[in-house]
Amino acid sequence: MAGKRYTTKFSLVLSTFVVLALCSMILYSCGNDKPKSKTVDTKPISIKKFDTPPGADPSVSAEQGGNGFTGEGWTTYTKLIGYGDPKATKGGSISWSIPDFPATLRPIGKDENSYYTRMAQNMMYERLLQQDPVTEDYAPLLATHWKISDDKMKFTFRINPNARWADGKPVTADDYLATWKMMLDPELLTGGDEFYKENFEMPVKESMYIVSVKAKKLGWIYFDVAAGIKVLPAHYLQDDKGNMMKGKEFLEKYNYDPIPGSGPYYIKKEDVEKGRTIIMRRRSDYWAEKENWAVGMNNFDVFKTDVIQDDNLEFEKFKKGDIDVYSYNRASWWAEKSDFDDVKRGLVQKRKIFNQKPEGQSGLALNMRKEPFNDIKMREAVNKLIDFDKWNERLFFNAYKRINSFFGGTPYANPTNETFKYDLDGAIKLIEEAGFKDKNSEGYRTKNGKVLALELPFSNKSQERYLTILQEDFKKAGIKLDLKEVDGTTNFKIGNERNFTMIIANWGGQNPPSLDFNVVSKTADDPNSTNWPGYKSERVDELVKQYTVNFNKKERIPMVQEIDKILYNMYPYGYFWTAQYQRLSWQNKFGMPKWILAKGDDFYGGTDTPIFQIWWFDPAKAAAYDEAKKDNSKKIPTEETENKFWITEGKSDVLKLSDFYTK
Amino acid sequence: MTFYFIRRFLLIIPTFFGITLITFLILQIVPGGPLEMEIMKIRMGGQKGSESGSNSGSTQNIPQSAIDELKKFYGFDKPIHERYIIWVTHLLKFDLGRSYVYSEPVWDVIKSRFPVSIYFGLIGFILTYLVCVPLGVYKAVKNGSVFDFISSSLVFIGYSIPGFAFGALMLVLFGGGSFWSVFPLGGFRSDSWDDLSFSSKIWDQLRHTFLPVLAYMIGSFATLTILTKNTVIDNLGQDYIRTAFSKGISEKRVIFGHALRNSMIPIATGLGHFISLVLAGSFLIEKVFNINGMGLLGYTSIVQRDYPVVMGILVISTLLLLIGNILSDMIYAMVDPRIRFN
Repeated sequence: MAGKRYTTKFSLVLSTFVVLALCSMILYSCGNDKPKSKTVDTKPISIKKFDTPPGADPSVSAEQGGNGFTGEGWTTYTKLIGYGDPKATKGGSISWSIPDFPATLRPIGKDENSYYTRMAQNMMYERLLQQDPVTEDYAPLLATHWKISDDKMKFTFRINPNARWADGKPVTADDYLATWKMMLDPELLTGGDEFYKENFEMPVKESMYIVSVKAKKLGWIYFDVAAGIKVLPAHYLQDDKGNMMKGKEFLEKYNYDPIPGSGPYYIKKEDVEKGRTIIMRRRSDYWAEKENWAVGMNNFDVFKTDVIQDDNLEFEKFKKGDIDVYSYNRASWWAEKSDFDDVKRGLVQKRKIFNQKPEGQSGLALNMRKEPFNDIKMREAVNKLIDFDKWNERLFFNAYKRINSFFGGTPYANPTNETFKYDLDGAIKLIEEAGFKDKNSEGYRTKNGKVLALELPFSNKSQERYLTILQEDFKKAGIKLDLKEVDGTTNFKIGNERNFTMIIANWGGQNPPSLDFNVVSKTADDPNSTNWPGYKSERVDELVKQYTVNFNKKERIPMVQEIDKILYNMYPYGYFWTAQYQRLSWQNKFGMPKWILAKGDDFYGGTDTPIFQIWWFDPAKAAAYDEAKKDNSKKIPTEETENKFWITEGKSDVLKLSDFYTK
Repeated sequence: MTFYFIRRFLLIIPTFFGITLITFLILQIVPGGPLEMEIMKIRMGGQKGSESGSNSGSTQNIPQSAIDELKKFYGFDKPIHERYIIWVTHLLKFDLGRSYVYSEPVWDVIKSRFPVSIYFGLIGFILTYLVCVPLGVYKAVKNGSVFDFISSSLVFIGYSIPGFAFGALMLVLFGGGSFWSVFPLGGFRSDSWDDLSFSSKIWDQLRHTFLPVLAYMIGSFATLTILTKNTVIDNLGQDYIRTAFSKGISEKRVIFGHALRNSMIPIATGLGHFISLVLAGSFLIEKVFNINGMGLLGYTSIVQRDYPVVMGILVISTLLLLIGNILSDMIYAMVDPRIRFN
């Protein structure tokens, strides 16, 4: 009897679980919870609430920037053609994937500096002026005209009376002022407030459409900053009582609930599925749709971003066609995996696209403040011990070139800088000259009885493959190299606190470079600068002083080239490698201009325009693609794999993109 | 025995605070916390990982005032013990704090991941019992046979393959990217879920469930199957079984009516941990299948230094584990009349 009782109890427990499991399956299958995903509706959207008539407010006079404004005495630029192709058609969607969900979608404030957020900012919010992608001249965006005072410290902008926020309200000087005021709030937690307080006076509203900004110091960068702020709508920066919102409230309120901008795209709150997907939608009522810079631009109705953390899954999804664009970040994958069946049949296109993205600096930061790297001979020796050709051949399929500049990929790079080659004998000679002549029983060099032993923290498992080669080459020269794996944040902390002898550092490049923050001597002692090695030079300081106040770009270039020569020849880094191209693949259903990518950035933008604003969905190509997907015997023509537009045709300072349409 | 369980429940309190205190201290002491991560983000921005690219740089330095503001934001302007007391005070008001990364209450972040974890945890749990118990019994009855040998080999091969590696292999083979298109390539459901009919939804959910559940379960087959087999074999050698046979009772009745019933006792004790299913999940499997479950959340929270979420998960997992242990003992006492806790 007892046995039966316990069996019954056990059966009861087990059947409860079975019932629970089935219920759980049915519940989740019924979709009773909030829908998590949906078929993307690809119609463009409008969130317009106010139907403000076109043109300026009638109460504003022509002198105040209203109707009848002639622009006399002001500067403007009418020749700008954007990256778009007039052949482009509107509609359709495009998707890609990112490995980590952005910590915010806000245009300003804590975490604003993620690559996704920077890209989204450019697609949703607009600045007063933009730059011609070829000539780099300033051109209208939210502002039609601008003036620079004779002392070059006061900048005045006239806002386009046609400019509208996504909700239909006009863009005015008040919006610029409110945005500026918000950026002065230290509660935004970016540190940017200090920069604005230190360098600018509070902007002045001269009229509804005219605003002026005064810099406290002379420098060409200040105009760029004032014209480059992404303007936000003042009426969204107010709290419930109509007062300016505090930074803390702003951070929380708009973290994932985007503010409507004046740009061509918008993210609806319900299109953000945290940790998984973000959908951007094209606005059907973008105010600048017919402006010449917008021709052929902003074509996709929907731009979908999926978060996929696993590299292999991302690649499989691309091969299957679940995502549209894929960037090969590893030379080995490009060499060995990029020619799958669909590529051979033309369903997937692959290109190596060269452009002029600044290369930045990457390598072993050598701490020049302490032994042994306070001796230039030791730093030079390290560069001679990096057998980059071996790494390139054995690990990178000869895909990269060694860095030989601080400003690679830009006109600011000094073309006469020599490139280091592996030279063991030369390195040993230098190490001996630095005083490490003796060797201990293990073959390691010593100086005053102290072994030449170095520790190298690294934060990425994939770095181990070349660092072990480096370790062997160091050993041949008598240097003991200990590799120490740490996580990325710890690695940064060690570097930022200058608490290292050598450490791996990767810095992005800029065009034009802002030297005040990276290369002047004072940055060597500033714990939050990127000058981890600690280089200092009086000549560089002097050149930077001249550079910051010289308003002629052509004259600035040789100054930076001289700086490049001085810094490079100090060998503050054991220079690593770079690539001046993107390895990109996509499902063959898109149209694109012959330059494929913007001139100065990755395919996803950040500082320049992403492909998602330049390409378009091509219905004819898509039909051929769909047919070939169904029929394995069909092929679609492909084009040459390498695209060098930006380093051949697009390099000229004279040509405009418009010239390329007719070529 | 009631007193024993009351005492066990009371012991949860010091154990819980001990665990949270130690974890809290470790998180605060390890180098490279949220403050450093934030400074790094301001400085470097980050981009899609590339072996040839470098990180983007900010055009400005970070003033000390900004670092002080950040310290205040993360609470690092106060000593550790004060921070712990503040955290505990909030906890006692059922407030787990706000996520540094998502800028929303920790509870909201965590609870959004529960359904996925419960779903996979529950199905995995049930299927493991449904497959392994009968298999273990059959292996015990057929001990030493060819079937026993082959099934043991398969079970141990499965045990030796990490679930995430198995999952990745299955996705490549059956996900449709490289070979056969049988299952979807990860995810919890299709994007077109809302437009599907009821039956299509069930089919879609099942297709998204099959491979991850297989990956979740592959390692646990061996333990439960062999435990069942060995306990059944042990029981088959007992005097009462011999007695049952000598009384002429059929083999089927002896095995299922007597041996199996007693063999279930150690297996049933594991049921107490059923409660921990809300936290089931392996970050590696969830990463491979792109499923937003608790495993992945726990892992990314540590990587992103989202300490409030890390502590929130710790609070829930600690409580569930401690309660699950007591429940296991209760089930043990319930199913085995010989057991009496004092």
